[in-house]
Amino acid sequence: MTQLALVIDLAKCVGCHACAVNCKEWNTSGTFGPLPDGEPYGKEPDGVWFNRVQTYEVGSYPDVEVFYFPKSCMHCKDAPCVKVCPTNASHKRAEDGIVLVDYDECIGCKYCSWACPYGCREFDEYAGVMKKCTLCVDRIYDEKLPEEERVPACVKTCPSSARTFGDIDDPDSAASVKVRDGAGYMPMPESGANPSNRYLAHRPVKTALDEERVIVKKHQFVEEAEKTDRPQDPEYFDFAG
Amino acid sequence: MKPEFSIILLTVLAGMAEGVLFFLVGADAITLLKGGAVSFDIMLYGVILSVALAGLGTMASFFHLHHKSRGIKAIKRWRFSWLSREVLLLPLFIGLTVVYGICAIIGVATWLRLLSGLAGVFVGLALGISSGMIYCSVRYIREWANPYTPINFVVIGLAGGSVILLATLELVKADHDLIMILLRMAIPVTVIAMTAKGMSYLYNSTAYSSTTLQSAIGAWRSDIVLMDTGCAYENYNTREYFHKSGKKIERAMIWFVMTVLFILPLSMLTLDYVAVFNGHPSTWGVLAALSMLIGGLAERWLFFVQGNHVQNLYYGRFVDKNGKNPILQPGKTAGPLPPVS
Ligand code: SF4
Ligand code: SF4
Repeated sequence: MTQLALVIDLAKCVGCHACAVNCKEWNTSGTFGPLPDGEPYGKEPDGVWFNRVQTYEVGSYPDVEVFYFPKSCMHCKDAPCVKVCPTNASHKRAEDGIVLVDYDECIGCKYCSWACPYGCREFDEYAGVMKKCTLCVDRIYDEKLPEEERVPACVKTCPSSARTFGDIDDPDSAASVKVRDGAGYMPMPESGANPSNRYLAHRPVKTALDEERVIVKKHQFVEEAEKTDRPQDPEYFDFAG
Repeated sequence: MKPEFSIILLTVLAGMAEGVLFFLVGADAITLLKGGAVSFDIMLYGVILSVALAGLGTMASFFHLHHKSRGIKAIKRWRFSWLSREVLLLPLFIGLTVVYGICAIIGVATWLRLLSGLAGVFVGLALGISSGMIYCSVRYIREWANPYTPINFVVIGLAGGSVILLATLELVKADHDLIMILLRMAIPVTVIAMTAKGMSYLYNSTAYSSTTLQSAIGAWRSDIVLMDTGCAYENYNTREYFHKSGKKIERAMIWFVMTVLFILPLSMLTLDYVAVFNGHPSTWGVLAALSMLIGGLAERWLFFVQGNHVQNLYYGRFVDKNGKNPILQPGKTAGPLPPVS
């Protein structure tokens, strides 16, 4: 069996919300969009997102730490949302384990969202159908995209490489290796839904900048300017090193 | 959970329709046993009442669907989904009630009429159980996922139906014996419904979900504070799973429901019984039915408001075992670690 899923390293996540924003951008214009917004610039903004990043603080002052918890559909193996759907609109694909909603079948009864323990389904009031993360099923098989871009939009955009995409049922996939090496866990394992997404626990990461090893690449423009005999702007070179 | 008026109307009215048919067929059978017969117009009134209630409920349910024309697709997964079963059984119930009515009107053999009536009653009970099981099978809401849910859906429907049927009989001045038969069934079934609902409220006040924020996000620390929910204002998850103003009056509403749905109607039914027993005409049943209708709607509303979904943990809106709600009370800490088992 193949079960595509996301592995998210909470120690690497910097809480920038890039995954959520890029998800919204891709999917709004993609096959499973739009993700509508109500009053996006008003006082009470409201909208459909497939992915949300939550912020938690642990510890007590002064030893506090903040970490981020990105949450999107876990593509559960025993997806309770699929079991309750009266129309078969919610379904789990046999070939890759992705849980999808067929917008042409959905009657908008919202029952699936009640059955999801993770709160990962959001109703589109405008289209009257249930929406949720598709694991970018319209990207990952798109042969028009270069091979390395055939990953979910959130994975592609994550600036700290906190997200890994892959088949967690294949023990040699990058995702499985990450789970194994980093003691990946399921959120709310007692839900019985058998979620496929995994998280690597938040742990304090000490970072120190080793000045010796910092390489500053000269800007291409500067390199070209050096090649020619153009007068050089000293201030600019100060900045570029 | 957010109460939706269309679902409240559907479950309350359909439940009462089931009750009306149940007691109409019951009264029919008992009268037959006693050697009499329920008059033609009474049967007609009863059937019309049941069909009208179920029909109104069905109409209300359409307001819940966002794609009404696709409603028929909802029966597809009747083998798996309780919602499918409810959608399938509701028209079947109305159909069987109509068949029972036709049998009474055209005067077919008694056994055939009773058989169609029994089939309607059976489907009606199955419908009540299906409605309850829709909620009972949502295991992430412990106020719903317990046997009291389907039991309450059925017995409250029966009690409501019996009293509404009684009220109708009193309004059309049915004969004394029939009203007596119905009163003798309505009072005990209302007492049973009151006991079941009372037990359900007691259960809800003590049971709690063992899921904690720690397990929900996999951070085994006692001092987690939710800083940001990932939305600028509200979203589907904060609106659908939590009803802030309802939560504030939850306790008061329990007493309101117990009084208006059970205690008031039971007192009125007792007065009714005394009057009818002494041979006086009485309309206390009508008042009891009105009270039960209001109480029934309030009960279903409260049923939704009480539902406390575990996904509320992610939004700091989960009511923990101490009855604390982080949104209603200042401070959002997750509380001490649960004991490790
Ligand atoms: S996370 Fe929720 S929506 Fe996604 S598969 Fe699991 S139960 Fe269904
Ligand atoms: S809202 Fe749509 S996908 Fe969800 S249970 Fe109802 S029909 Fe199925």
